[in-house]
Amino acid sequence: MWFQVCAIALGVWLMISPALLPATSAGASVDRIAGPVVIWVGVLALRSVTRSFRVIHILSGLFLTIAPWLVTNTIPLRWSSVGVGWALIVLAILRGARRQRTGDGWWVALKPWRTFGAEVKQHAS
Amino acid sequence: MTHAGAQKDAAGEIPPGWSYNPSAWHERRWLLCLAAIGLLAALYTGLSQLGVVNLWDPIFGGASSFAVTHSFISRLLPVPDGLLGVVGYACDLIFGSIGGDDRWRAKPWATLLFALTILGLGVVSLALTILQGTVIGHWCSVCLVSAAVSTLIFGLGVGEALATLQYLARVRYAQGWAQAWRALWNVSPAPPRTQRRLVDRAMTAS
Repeated sequence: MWFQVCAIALGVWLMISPALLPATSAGASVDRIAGPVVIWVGVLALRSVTRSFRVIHILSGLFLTIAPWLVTNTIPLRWSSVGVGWALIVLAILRGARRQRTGDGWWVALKPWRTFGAEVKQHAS
Repeated sequence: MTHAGAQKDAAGEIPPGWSYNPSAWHERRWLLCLAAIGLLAALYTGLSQLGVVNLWDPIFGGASSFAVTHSFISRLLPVPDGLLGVVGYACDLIFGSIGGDDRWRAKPWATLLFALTILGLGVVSLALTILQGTVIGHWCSVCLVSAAVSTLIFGLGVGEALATLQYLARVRYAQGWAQAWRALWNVSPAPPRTQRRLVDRAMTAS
């Protein structure tokens, strides 16, 4: 949870940093595309039940480490974006504590036998 | 009480394998409060788009808000997008309040409709927030409040759908697709085993 709170804070920073640092229009757009996505995924991954969706941070992180080099950009904003990108990749790998148990994961809807095999057969017989 | 897992229902309405009940009222009431805030924000935005009120914006200024709420994106559809937001949040309130603590298995359709509604609102809010920063180049405080509310409702509330999906998956695995479809709408007759158990219990009680 706290790792995702950090991710949300980074997302907020992405949204306000183009206004605080010297920025080009294209460089600001990179941050303003990634910022809302990072906050969105961070909120989604706050709870144990949807914690695994934090893997999407890796995509945002890759975008933020690559895209700032491809557009006209200022040096402070570029390094801000790239730093946030690397931090997000780390935050996507760190799992954090699982506070609540929620059965098995989201794949269960597609592959129930992996979870329910023994238990369900008992009920069904 | 009609499907596999019925034995565990006696120990509260907690789904099998879970440590809490995602359909419990104390889980849902915060989401509904947020949805009410979102509804008011969307209504306010929609009224300003109809020219009834001026949108108050303490952070970015009224002109910035006006640029957002009267942009070409807000006019893509025949109805102002603020009013569509009102409809979305109203659906959110309705589907979020249907059913009791056992709705993850008693009303799977309501749980899944709620999940789809909050997913839709969440995705649209995300897209509109990105468009504000990149295409429009202006910000709107009330719109951002609405987007934050949608994001919170989706991120914190969508877990309930997993309990329902697990339940339906279990029914499907034990009794097939037809029974799972009936379980979705909760029109399935109790399987013989359960009926026998209920009859037994009634007999011993009397």
